[in-house]
Amino acid sequence: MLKRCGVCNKEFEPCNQCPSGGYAWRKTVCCVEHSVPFLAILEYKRNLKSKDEAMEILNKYTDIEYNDDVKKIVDEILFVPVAESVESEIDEADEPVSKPRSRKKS
Amino acid sequence: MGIVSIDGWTVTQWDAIEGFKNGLHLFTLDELQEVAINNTEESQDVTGAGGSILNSNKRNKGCNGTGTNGLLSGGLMEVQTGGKQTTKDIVILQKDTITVTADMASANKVSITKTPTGTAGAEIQYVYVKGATEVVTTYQQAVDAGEGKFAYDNKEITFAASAIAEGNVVTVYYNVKLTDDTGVKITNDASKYSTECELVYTGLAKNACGKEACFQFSVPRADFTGNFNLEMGDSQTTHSFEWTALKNKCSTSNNFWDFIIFPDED
Ligand SMILES: [Zn+2]
Repeated sequence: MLKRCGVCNKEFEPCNQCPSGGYAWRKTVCCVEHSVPFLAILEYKRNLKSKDEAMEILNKYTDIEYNDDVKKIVDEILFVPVAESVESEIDEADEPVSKPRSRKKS
Repeated sequence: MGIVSIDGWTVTQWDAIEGFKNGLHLFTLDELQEVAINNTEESQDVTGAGGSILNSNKRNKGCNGTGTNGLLSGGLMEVQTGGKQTTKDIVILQKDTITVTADMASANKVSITKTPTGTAGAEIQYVYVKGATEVVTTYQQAVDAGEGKFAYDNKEITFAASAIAEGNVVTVYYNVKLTDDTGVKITNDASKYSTECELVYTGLAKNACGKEACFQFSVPRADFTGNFNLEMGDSQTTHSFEWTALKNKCSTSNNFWDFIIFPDED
């Protein structure tokens, strides 16, 4: 039975028997690349990663078209309140490390 | 008085078969149900005028044994499969059948009994919900609950609102890792084969005068086959085995086996 990727809209043939060295991504996502944002979203949902930690990872995957299962959570992770984003721009000059920025939403 | 001849003795009881590998004890089969030791030899007649037999050429002498033990033997399985028993890193299949209560239905959640192991995000890949009409709906694990999807976290399965109702039956299959040394596993690896070991059959014998004695039938090199059945029928599961005796080339003798009858005295 085909499965929809845990991240995007692509359907894939899942495999339970593939070697499990590392993350057995063939059970959850369509390609190895999508396992990284998938785990970030999952761990955020399970309170194992903070919003900032998850955002930092998702910001590296700006070209993914997220499916409806995760869209709401992704938006929640990437949402930056207006006040905070203005504040961070002001603070930016003083801070050695800049805060992760929200990706442009499609 | 000592026992000086095999004549007149009969085996009355097969007690056990002990298996060893270079002195290391591998197994004891002491619930023997069937035992057979078959000895074979081929001979070809050498014929003269009119087909009269002048002599015979003998060759291909052999011995093999078969039997069934009433209990399973892990050591015997190791010899038959070339595998090894372990009590570590064992994963088993768990099946939970949960009848949805009113509380579960209103919370859209059911709890499973054990902690699943496996790929994050696919610990429980599917769950099956039998509704009031007996129709079974399959749900797939996702990060979040939704149409046809459930979320899993911390022994809890979450469905979308109104997906489950009181009285529904939720069936969940998942893998659970056992605590080390609480279970045992033997693996039949396709790339490994059956091995040989030393066998000693023990039991009792009786002679025509009613005198009892012990016997031992020892096979220095019993080469087990990988053919065995774990059978279940009217009675319990039994464990069958078969072996072929190999010539003991390391020894000065070429024995397939030794049969000894002796009194049980010090
Ligand atoms: Zn994908």
